[in-house]
Amino acid sequence: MPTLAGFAGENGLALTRFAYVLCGDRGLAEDLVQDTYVSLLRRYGGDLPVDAPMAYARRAVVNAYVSRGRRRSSTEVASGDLPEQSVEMATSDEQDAMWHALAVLPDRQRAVLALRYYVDLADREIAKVLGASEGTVRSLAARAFAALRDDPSFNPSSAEDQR
Amino acid sequence: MKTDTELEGLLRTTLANRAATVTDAPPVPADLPARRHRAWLPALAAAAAVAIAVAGVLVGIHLAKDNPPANPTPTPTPALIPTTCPTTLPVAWRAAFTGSALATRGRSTQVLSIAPDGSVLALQDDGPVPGAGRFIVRLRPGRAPDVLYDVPDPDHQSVAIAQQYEHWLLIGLNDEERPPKGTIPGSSGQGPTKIEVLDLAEHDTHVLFDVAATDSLVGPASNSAAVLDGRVYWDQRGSYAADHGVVRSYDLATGALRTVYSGKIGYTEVTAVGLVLQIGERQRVIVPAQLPAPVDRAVSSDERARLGTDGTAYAWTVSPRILGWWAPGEAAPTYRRLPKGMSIQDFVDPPLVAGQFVVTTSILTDMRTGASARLPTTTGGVTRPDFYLSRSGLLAGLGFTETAGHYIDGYWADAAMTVLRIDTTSLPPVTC
Repeated sequence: MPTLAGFAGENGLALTRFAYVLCGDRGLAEDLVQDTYVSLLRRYGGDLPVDAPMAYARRAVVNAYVSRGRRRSSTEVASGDLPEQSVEMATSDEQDAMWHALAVLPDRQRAVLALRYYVDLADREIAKVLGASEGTVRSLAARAFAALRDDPSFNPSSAEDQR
Repeated sequence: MKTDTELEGLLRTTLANRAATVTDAPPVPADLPARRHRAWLPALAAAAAVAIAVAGVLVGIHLAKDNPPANPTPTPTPALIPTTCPTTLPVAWRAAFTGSALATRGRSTQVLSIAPDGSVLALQDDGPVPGAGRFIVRLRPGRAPDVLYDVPDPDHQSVAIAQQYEHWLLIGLNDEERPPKGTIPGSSGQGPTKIEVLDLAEHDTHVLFDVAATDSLVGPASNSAAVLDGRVYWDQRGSYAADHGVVRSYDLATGALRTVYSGKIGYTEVTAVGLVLQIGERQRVIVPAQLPAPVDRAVSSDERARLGTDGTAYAWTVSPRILGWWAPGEAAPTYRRLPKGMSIQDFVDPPLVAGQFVVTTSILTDMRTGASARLPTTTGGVTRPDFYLSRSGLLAGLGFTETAGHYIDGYWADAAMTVLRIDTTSLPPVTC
């Protein structure tokens, strides 16, 4: 039976990377992962069930992220700015634009895109992670894509409309 | 303007590159408060149950309101519920797993539903070459696949829904570009853009909903369609952005069209409790199913959202360790606690039930004998078999064909899927 320490050693980096693409903030990503470790420890103790601890951990990260968004939504105003800009990256302008566009999507829409295009989960599996139906997943993805299509970076005519 | 395919590619690249900038993971917290005893747990659970019940009333959970149990039967005290004994799958079951693959054709196959005759309806995709076919096929043990429906524009359309009721086949087509590089077809993220009924006896079709002539992001939109008791139901709204819409019905026998619901709209699906509208985290029952009295009395309003059925037997999750189950002939529900290490990973979802057997993630529990066994992760040339459909004692799902598939530029390509179907009615009980 795997231990939490062993799980963290094997999967901690992958989980932190996932948390980062989910929330876009390095510090928050680490907080989400640590909260997940605490949750795993509380639920299972030091020994994890052999069944899909990564799936459970991923789900815990998403739930913590979305819950945080719900709490935040009542007191904070979302900003179009990236949460953090400290990393020097050799990425294309388009990737920067995409990262910015993701930052302003609602949490659950962003979660669907991260699970589908980073983790490569099928919609049915994403539905399980989010605790929603497949239809909700498809709807969230459709709305996210509609927003991306309307982003002036990817749709010049949209920028003209906004002038 | 970028196409969806271009946006998808950019998304993958952006997320992968950003993720790669993370090179450290946080440590496991060293200290947690010690928990020597859990005497406070029952009180907390009771308080939580009350809070959930009150919250359910406050936020308007409609399940209880729409279909209240007449004389609720309380779930037995958890301490009195017997724990199942962990065991291994009997030889006959292992042989059934090994022999459960159905013959398919084409490049990839996606299981869509189980038909009334026990055959599996699936989407067959013939591959990445432009013009290659996409079909709805009927798969049966020992038989070659039958093509029931030929997707008219396979380069741009796929099948999201195929459900059979008597001699009618409900079909939901969605816009889905043929994926590049031979990758497994994904989902376009959109609901069906065309919903139609094919009469398998008369070979004619009746179109119920079609947005093909308009931009599906501007014009009318639907999330889903389903058949229940001889009627097709689908949700429909003015555009994807609209929060309100209608649920329409079409009587397969008479052709009568009706609007059965109007208001805040979500995703329409048929579950054990009937036709439900999933709106965010909430379910609203639009057309209630007639539940057997023992089940109706036993399941709470909360548990109704986690109630699964194969059409005759019912199972529900009471907690991440406790299952409830009832089948015809049983005077009252049976409750079983799963042993440590076999808890239900997907507690919020209805369990898969096939007769006396309940599948939760990778655990099979025989509710009559009280034995639990892990399903094999590799069997008969198939890895990660995943059963997610059941009907009348049958289980169906998919697994990866072990020898197929390879990576191309980070994409998992040409991965053949094996369609699995097990008839549990011909299998012995699982015992310790």
